[in-house]
Amino acid sequence: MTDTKAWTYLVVVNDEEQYSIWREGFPLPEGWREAGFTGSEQACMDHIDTVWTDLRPRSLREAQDG
Amino acid sequence: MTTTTTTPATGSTGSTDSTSRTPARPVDAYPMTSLQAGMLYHSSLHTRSATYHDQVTLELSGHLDEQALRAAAADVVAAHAVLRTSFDLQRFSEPMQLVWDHVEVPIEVVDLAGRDLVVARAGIRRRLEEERTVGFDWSRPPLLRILAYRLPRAANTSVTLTFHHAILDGWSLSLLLDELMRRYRAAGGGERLDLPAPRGSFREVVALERQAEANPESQAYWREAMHDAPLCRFPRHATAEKVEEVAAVRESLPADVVEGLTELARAASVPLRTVFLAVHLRLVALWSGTREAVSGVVTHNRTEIEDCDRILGLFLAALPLRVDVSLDDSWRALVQRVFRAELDLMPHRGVPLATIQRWVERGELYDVLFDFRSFGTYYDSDEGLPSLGVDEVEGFEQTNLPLAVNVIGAGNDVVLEARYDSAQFLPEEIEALLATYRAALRHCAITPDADPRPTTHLGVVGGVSVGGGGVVDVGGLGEVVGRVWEPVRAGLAGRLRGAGVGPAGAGSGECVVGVLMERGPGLVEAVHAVVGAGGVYLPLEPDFPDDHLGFLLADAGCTTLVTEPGLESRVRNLVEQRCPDAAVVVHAAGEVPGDAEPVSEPVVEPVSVDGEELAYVIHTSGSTGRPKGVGVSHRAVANRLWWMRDLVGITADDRVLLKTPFSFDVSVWELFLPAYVGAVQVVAGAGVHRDSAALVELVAAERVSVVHFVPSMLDAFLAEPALTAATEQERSARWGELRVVVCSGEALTPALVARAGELLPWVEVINLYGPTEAAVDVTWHRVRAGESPVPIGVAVPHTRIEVLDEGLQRVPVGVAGELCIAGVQVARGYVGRPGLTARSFVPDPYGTTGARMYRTGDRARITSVGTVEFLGRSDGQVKVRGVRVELGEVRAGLERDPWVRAAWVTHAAGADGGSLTGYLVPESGADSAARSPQVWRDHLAERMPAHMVPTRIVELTELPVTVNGKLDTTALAQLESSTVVEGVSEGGPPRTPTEVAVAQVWSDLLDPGRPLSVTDNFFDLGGHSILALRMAASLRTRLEVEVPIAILLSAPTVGQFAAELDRGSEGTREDRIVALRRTGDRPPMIFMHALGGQIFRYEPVAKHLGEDQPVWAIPAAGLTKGVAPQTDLDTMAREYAELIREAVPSTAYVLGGFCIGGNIAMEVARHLTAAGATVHAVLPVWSSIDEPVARASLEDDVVMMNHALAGGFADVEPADLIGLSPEEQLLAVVKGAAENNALQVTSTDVDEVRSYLDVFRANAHAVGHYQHASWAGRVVLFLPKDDEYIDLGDDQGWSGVAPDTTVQAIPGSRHTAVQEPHAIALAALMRQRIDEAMRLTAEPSDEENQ
Repeated sequence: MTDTKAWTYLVVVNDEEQYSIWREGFPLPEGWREAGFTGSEQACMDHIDTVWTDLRPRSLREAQDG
Repeated sequence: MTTTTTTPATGSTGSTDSTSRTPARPVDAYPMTSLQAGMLYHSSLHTRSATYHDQVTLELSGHLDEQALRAAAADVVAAHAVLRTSFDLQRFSEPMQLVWDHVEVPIEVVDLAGRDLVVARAGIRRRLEEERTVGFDWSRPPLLRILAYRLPRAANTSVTLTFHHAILDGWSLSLLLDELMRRYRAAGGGERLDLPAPRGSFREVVALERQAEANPESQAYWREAMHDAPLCRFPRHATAEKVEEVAAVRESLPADVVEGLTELARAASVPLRTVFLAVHLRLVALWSGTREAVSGVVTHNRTEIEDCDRILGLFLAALPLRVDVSLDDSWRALVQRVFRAELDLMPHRGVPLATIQRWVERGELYDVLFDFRSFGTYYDSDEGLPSLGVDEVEGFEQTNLPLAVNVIGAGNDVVLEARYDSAQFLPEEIEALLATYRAALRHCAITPDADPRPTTHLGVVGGVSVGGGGVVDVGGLGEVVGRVWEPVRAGLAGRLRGAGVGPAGAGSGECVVGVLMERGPGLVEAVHAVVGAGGVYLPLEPDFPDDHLGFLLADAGCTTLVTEPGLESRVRNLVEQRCPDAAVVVHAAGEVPGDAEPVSEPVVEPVSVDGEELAYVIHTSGSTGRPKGVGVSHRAVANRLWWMRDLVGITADDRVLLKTPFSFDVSVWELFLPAYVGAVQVVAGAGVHRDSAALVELVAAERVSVVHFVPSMLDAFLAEPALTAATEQERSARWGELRVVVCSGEALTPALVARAGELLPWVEVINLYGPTEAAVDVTWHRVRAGESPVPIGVAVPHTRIEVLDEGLQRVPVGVAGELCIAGVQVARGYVGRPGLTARSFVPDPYGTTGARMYRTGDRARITSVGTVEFLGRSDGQVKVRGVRVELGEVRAGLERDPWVRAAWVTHAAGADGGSLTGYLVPESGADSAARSPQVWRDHLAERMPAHMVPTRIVELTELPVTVNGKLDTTALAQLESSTVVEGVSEGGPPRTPTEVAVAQVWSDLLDPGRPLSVTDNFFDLGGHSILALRMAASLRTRLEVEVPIAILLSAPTVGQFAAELDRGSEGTREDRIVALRRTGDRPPMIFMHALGGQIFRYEPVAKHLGEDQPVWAIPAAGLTKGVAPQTDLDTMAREYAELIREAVPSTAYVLGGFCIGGNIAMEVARHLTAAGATVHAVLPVWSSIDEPVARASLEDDVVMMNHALAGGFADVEPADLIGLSPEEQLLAVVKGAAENNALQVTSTDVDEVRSYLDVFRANAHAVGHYQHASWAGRVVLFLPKDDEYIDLGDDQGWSGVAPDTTVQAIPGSRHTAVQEPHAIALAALMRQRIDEAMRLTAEPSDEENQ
């Protein structure tokens, strides 16, 4: 029977450039957009490990880094 | 009330005229269907309950025509076999149903015509309710009663049919009502309807069932379909009392909704039923919090049978249907999926539920039933009923399922009905349920292409928040630090700045500063200084191993370390090995920077920080074993402090204890809040947080007013002798300042709350919940005494709690789901772990644009009052026999018992499907005898489904805890069984013969090959209703005792059940002598069996002998008991006399018997008088002293068989039997008897018939060759007037043996004389003769009786 491990996820990102994953086929909440990667939960997490290098929200990062 | 008549004269209609004078005979016999057996089982468990008793009331306008009603009822019964069917659960190897040639419907007519309408209505309602609970004697057909009322004023009539569901389904009921009304109308007009009998028969259903059960494809289908299926269970309030009472709510669906659904069905080319079913299944999943829905669905098996639409019977089946409702993004697609599932099930629907349960080794497969009824009913009949109209139909039916959702109607008139057990559901729970049906049906009807998964469309509101849930600027911790800025901290902060720790925004990013210090004032200064300098503190406990500390340093990217002089060398070593670039700052408590270490940039003001900057990184354990560093922002921490200050009300007057290790985030408020509000901070020394005795003293000595505990530590605190041994006055004097106890970190038990209330009644207990990932605590609850379970409360300001399903959709109130947190306290994420952060911090579907929420992995539900109830970790979800169980829920169930101080539940996977063990610590003072493991299990079983009740309960004196004060699950798992109080599955082997037999029979049925112990429980072993019936039959044969299955309920284990059986057989020997009427002060009348051995024939006479006349009867040994038949009359009579004196002690008796029963009676009388008792008279009926039948039977097997099996009526020529084997002869006689409707036994099974013949033969031997000695006692011989073999002038030889013989003529033939209605006359004459005999005995003539 179905298993969350078998579901397909999307890598998504918000305006603060915070990344997350979202189950494919479900309506994506407002303020989030697809980041162009689709795969299993683990594949999405691995992808995010490579693209999300600074966990600070964008506005904070911009303020701090000037 | 005036009752005019009850059972009337028979033969009032043509249909029964020819047969009414002869006794009813079975004309067909076949096994019961599993569903029927299951229904009878459930009925038998609850005597005087309405389980499976159905009732329907017709309100007719017009005067009641009683004669027409009786005629109509008689014709209906004559036309339909199932109305002439009785059930026999006992005498055959499996439950059988017997169809009789004719039966009479009990009809009672009550005349209320002259009464006040309101009073009459109330009386009728009461009577009908009572009527529902009156049981049916399954051995006496019909299982149907009619109660008719002549109503006041408007010449109206109400007719109520009460019947057992095992004979009729809904369709059949409407057929029955239709036919009854049409016949009634015809009879009223003096006509008799001639309706052709349906060609098929209900017995074909039984055959189909057998066929399906033998089909390997069906077995494969059901195993696959139910493999690991969830048990979908709608949430309900728990109740301790199990009083089943059905309530129903109905509502008409709006026309536009029905039209939309009908259109969807048409477009999808599926029946309308499928559309409703799809919506139902979506809601089953919604209310169960599952992806997959499993519901019972009512189907029927009529279609394979000829004339299927005209046969009455129980054709329905309620089978589980399982559909994953999470896969389709439109209702249309879901409807198609459901339709495919129905088609897949179709070929296998003949398999009874019980068989499926056996195949998949699971008892409960569904908890809710769906039925779609669209058949036409009698009142739709276009023929109309001119002389009388049917005004109203009220139906009542009770099943043993807690909830049924029915869709009833045809065309555009559709009614939605929820029928529920009001002992399990509250009306408001049902209303909430129906609200989602309304919303979902509308959503599906109006927007069939919309996604059925988002739950907001299904009427779910969800979410718990107080005020705004959005992001609010609550500032940063700088404000906190600013309030209490003083030279020590300022100086240290300055040195940190010198070491490179700087405010963010200066290009340096965030600086993580490790603090490695023992708890003390220096630690508080250091943490404040780090935060004040704009750094991020990382707690490092000195008692952590160096390896672990090294990992934390590196993982968090630590750039600077603060430590104290005593730990400096250890820190420098660590730094050297792990992060050689990091600076080390040594700080002693109270130290003000001097000249020795120049401050590069003296800091006197705290730096200002962005609210999004991190305040600390605290590690939590990770599932892979690698701790995760949670980065929490200033804004999140500040919110945590503000609400604590405002809601708990912490002020400058408080003295707050700092005792939590600072690597545990509960310490955050202890560290910062006192400083902010100006309260006194009492710092516990290193290690004191683990020492409850020291804490008790510290709280008293320092007059502490606020303290935070994990519940297990509070438990230890409240158990300290210093506290418990103190008088109330002493406690108030020493701990009187303690104002607030805050709890979090573990479930707070009601028992602990109660104990706190008892010892420290002035203390307010506040329960908090939250993860490190959401700044410590996000819900709070002011605990009230008696709350069970203790909720974790409501969301704190600027946060929102969601309980969501796997698709992150809100679940309805009461449904368990994953607890998710949104709002300002949500952490930034896991430091250096983007992937992990992305998985746990996800888009918030209910929040502001772009907001994230944290998925806790905890299970919770929102209660009807809007508080959140914690249910444990998601990984606390386990499977027991394939059914998902929340361990937290089981634990909460155990802890709800006021005598349970603490509990824990573990799960062991295993080949047997897994089992639960409950560990519990009884409250001191709990009566251990009254609180055995079994009692605790029973208690739990009252509130939870069986699979959630632990099979093993272990009592402990305390639950083991870890150094942090949390429960030590590893230690629990390693507990030696020597510390364990015996669990239920650990009883010894069976000892008594009864226990051995019970264990053997249960094992054979339930778990072949496994030896059972005395504590093995029938239901735990997978026993269910059908198995219970089989078990009873098997034990009855083996032990020769009655096995009432109802005792299984009170005695479910091998030992208990055996004890009950032993108790039963040790009492009166009622299996050998049967009370037909127990009460009365006259000398007992005792009837003896005749040749056939049975005693049923005496029942009508017994009924009419009078209320004051006790009546008993003795059946033959060997008939049903397997006891060797008795072949010697003298031995038989002696045994019977002993039996009578033992079971019916009296000084005087009257004896009687039919046929050879009279002969036996006289011999028994001889033994009784010899033993000193008085026998007023012997009353033989149709009896000969020579007993020609017995003698003839001995000489000729054919004669014997003819008499034994057909009462002499079988149409068999003896010559035809010559040359046949005994078995063939037997079959020929049985066939002849059956053709002649004269079969006397209730089986066509050769073995069964043979055992009957054995009894007959034995009795014939006993009597046939016996020469009676003369007897001086009184004999009244009752001879039927209308019998072809009887000459009333001949006393059948009785006077030759008993000179004091009188002949009394009675109405009827030898067959009908003892039956209704002649039994009335017989009884009256018997009573008269007994009175006469008693008078004569009272006159002195005693010597004759010696």
